[in-house]
Amino acid sequence: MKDWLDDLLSELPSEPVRPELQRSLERRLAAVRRAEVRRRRAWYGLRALAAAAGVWLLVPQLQPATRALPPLSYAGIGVWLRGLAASPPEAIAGTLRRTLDLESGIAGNLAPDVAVGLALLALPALSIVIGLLGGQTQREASAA
Amino acid sequence: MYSHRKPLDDDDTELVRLARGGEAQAFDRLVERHTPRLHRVVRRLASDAGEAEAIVQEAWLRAWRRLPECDAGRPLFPWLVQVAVNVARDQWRRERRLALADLGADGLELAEDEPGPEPRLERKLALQRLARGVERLPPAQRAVIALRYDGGLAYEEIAQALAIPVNTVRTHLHRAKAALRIWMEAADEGLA
Repeated sequence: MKDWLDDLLSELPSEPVRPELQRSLERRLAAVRRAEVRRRRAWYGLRALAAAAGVWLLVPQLQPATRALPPLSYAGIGVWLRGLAASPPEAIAGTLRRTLDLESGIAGNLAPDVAVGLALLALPALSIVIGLLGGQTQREASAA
Repeated sequence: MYSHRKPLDDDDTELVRLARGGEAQAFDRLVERHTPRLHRVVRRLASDAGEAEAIVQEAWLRAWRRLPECDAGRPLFPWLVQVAVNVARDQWRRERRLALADLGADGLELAEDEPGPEPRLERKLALQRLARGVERLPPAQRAVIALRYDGGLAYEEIAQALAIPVNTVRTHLHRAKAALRIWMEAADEGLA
């Protein structure tokens, strides 16, 4: 129950807010926002640079990799399907063997640049995915 | 709650939503709306006006950065007070002190709907004396008084802002008011 003390406490004197405080706050908030924009732009630039460097490293490596791939034709697929129908285990084992040969062939032709290129491409890709997930979480929180 | 200090929390929800979406103007509107009341609460806790302003400014900057953590479905002001209390705590921890407020009698403002000259003077003197009494309270009790009467927060909101149980809030408030009653009665009897 409210009494005289509650009444007095509700009206306790206090210093008014100086107008300079509001102005100073606006200035500091604006500075923080500008710094955020600069940081965001720098991060976007870094991501774009990483993606470009990744592509630059990967593209020259694609040609040897594609050369190692067997030529694909309707006739070849037809032969493989007939083999699969005649003896499935043999056809699957043969396919696995050829795939492993292909993998070791490609791996032999690939330079360490590929790993670096893939890592450089993964960095912006991951950051975009994280950003999208974060944005979705925030939208869900706002909607709740 | 004390009606004359109630915020317009209905509009806050929309402004918080917009600010979280990156609209700086919506946040500026919240700053404009809540700074006077936040300053009033913080000023009661801080040792001087400069410290109070520094805490209020840092609280708003922190609020901007942590806005995604703010629950849009709840009133904004208690969350703001919580941020400000944490800023003050960090500051005091750094400075290794927990100073009492030195809110002076100079420049005090009184409500406009006051009675005639004599009762008005009497009330003004009582308020000034009460303000000095609040300054002399232990920091924890003064914080509860500030959040309850300057901030208009409910017991649960005070407990959340100060990270203490609701029963402790009640105890602090009870002890603070008992001490203030003695302080004010001593003045009536001319002992102070």
